[in-house]
Amino acid sequence: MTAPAAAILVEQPRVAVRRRAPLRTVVGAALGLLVVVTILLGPWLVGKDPYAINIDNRFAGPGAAHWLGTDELGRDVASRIAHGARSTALIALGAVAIASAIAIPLGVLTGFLGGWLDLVVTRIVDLFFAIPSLLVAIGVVGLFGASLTTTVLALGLSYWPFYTRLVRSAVVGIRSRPYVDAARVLGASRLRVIRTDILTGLTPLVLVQTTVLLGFAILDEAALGFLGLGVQPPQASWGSRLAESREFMLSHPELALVASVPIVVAVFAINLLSDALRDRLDERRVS
Amino acid sequence: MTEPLLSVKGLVKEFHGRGVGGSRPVVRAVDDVSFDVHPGEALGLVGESGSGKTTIGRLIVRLEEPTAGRVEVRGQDVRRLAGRGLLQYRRDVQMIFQNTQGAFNPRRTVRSVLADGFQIHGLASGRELDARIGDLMRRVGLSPEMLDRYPQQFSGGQRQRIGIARALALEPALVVADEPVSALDVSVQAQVLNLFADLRRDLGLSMLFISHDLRAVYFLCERIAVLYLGRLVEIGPRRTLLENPVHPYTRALVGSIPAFRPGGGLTRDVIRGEISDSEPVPTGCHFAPRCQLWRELDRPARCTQERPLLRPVTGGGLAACHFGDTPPDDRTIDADTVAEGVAGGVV
Amino acid sequence: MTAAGAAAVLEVSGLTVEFSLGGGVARAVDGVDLNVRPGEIVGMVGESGSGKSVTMLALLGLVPRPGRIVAGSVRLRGKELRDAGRRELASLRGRQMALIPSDAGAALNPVARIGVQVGEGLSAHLPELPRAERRGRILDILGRVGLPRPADQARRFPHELSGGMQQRVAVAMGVQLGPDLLIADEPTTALDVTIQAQILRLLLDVREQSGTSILFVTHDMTTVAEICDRVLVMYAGQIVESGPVVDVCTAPAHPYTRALLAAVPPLGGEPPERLTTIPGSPPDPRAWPAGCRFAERCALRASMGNPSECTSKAPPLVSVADGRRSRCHFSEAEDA
Repeated sequence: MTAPAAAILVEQPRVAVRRRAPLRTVVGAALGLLVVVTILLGPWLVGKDPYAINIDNRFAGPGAAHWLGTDELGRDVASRIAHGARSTALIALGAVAIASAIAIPLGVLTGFLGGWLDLVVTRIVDLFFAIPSLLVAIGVVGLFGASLTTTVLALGLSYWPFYTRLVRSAVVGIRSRPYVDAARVLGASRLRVIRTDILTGLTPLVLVQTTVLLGFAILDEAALGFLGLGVQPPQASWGSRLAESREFMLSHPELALVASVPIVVAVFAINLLSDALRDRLDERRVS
Repeated sequence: MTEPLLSVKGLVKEFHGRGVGGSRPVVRAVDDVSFDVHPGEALGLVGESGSGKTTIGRLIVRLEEPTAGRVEVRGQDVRRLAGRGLLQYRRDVQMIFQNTQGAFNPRRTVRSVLADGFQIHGLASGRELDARIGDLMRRVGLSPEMLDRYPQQFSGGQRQRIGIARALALEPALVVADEPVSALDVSVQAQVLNLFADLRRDLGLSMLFISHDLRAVYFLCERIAVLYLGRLVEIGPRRTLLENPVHPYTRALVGSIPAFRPGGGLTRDVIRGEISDSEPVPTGCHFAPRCQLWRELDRPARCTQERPLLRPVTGGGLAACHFGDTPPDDRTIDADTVAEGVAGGVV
Repeated sequence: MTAAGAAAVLEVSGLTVEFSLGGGVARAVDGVDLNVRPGEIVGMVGESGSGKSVTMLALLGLVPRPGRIVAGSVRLRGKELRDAGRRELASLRGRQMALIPSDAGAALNPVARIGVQVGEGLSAHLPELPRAERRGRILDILGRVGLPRPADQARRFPHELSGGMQQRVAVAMGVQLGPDLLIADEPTTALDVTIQAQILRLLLDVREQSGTSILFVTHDMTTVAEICDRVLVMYAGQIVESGPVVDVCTAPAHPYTRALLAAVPPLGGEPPERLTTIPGSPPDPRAWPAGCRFAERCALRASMGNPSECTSKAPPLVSVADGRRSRCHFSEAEDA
């Protein structure tokens, strides 16, 4: 019933609302930086071979020699996490890239053109919605065998339906804006309208969704790993680390704990940053 | 008489409503509408929400395709145009949109928005493009220095000027303006209306000015057309239409505008019912159920059985009423008071 | 129409509302005084950014963040609302003062039936009311605001009603608890012109029947001239002119009021070649000019050869005639 403050003041041009970065953004950025440093410099910082087995030194506690101790084969846990970060990052980025590569063009085309293409694709998407995405991933792994590449493919393929639907509905919303009508009246071709008005309108959604999906992908990689369907031993990844520690959950719970910390930190950071990003973009649209 | 620039002939637009299964009701948003706009002329299209005025505008600029009937510009059937012909048509006929949130892409600068027309039609690039965009801004009373701002950084009136500039880029002969001043403050509205008047005088622009605001239309347009539930009920020179309206709906519409007469109290005619809850009468006159004259004449059956066609009436206009043009004795809606009250109030 | 000297229903003095924005403080409302007497309809006129909407929200205790009332008092029937707590304010709203929003369609809950929504005020303020009586009251009020077949309408959802009918429902919700003061926020702006008169008539009827006072907030001088007794003209956060509506409209004292009236396109006769306009745009609320806030755009100042007083000294709101005030160094009530 009440008009929001922004709306009242917006009538006065030139008044821009600017606030200090909230704590959320600061924490998110700090944790995100930690994750990025781990991915880029981790292996070098730790300086240990993640594959060096030393059966005599199994389950060693944390110390100067092994910062986070050793695992069931006496391998350095810190090193495995640092190297695993690279595989996990690769998987997450790859999965998001595949999902985006399918969803964005498909969503834009179906949303903008409508017609039979829209009808067919929407039905296929609906069909995929009836299947839990993890099940899709498991199916892909079953078909091609577990490996890093399959994990990327499996996750990418399980994300595209919902992402396509999201893009499509956003495009349908933008398509009916008067400024799209204005471009059409000026004589703009469909391609030009997509380029100048649809894609620019889509940017915030894509940015936010990319971060959200990255978070999902890290979690799902861990889930696949936990089920033994992800990256296969001895290759290191956060998911496989979790899978390896599973067997010793009762005798050495600290292994599972240490394995899950990076996942939690990364996903938490991504969620904080994606929230901040969304608010930032919303704010720009409003003011 | 010169050849009309725009000629709308028997235009019909039906929309399919939402319904369950096979029962999809058809709504006739535009129902057999015909009118002309001559070179240099401004025609006002007035009506309440649901009258079909916006749809007519969209049909003319081909944002919608008609169910039946034709739109002709310079004698050419617009529906047949494609490719180059359509592009040429776009240069001839442009549209100005209502100043709403969605009128501009919030992520594009004004410069980029105004460049659209030139780029699409390959009219200018580089330095020349910059120069012409600058000219456009000055033409609508804005400074070229503002070009790199985003639309949301402008006030409502300035944004509407940018919308006008966008339409003028292609130097059109006809501009369809859909409620271009209704979202603006009174003083800003006057500025924008003056701008329209200047553009008409300086550029010889023809206009189809779509608005629910009879005051704005009266100021700008030589002729006014009144729509009711998709049908044209009356069209004529502005003074005739305002001072001696023939159709009972036009009379009601004119009577419901506040006559600025401080101390006079609420003198507007209160028309019965509402456009949105009155069922159209497809076989007869849509307005009959709300019509004062119909009741006064003891509800003649002709009004509900035979569709009234536009016919010439006193004063040089056309009206679609079976009984409207009978001698104006006791039925005049004291147009004198409207005129006098208004003139007296405005300094 | 109103008993002179009767205790005001609403008394506002020195109301000041500020919004702290990153770049500084915007004083959206700056020292507004107003009062509304019993049974009186007072128009508050202004354009976007004039402060009329923020003033209205302040009266209702609904100033949105980051805005806050920094000074002044708002008294409703002698009770200071700035001292009232959240709950007390909520109970005053509806019972003693009510808002009629500009866009009833947006203000009504789309998924609740009309009858339920109209009944909400009753349940909140009179929970002890028996069911049957509550229902009777709901149907009664719906009938009184001119909804045909109230029992049928009560079962409908807002989207099944036309804009005019939705606005009637909003009026019903506003008046059902018999408030002393109705705040009508552009109640006819979103409506078609043929429906506007119906709603204005309804507001006049409400005043007639219940003696309710109405603060009518609008940008439209012509509507004010039709139904208001007095008018307050706002510009740049301040009241620049006030007085009986006939006097202000026929012989405006402040140049801004004069310009506002002149900007209305005339209807009838040969239309002018150009409309009278106000040049420029209103000042930035974060940096109000030191002198008169209208000076930059003022035709009177220009015609007087730009006296320095206008830009150096802020003009006070002074009495210019019986019951009339104007905020201009050179205002004079013109002879009509």
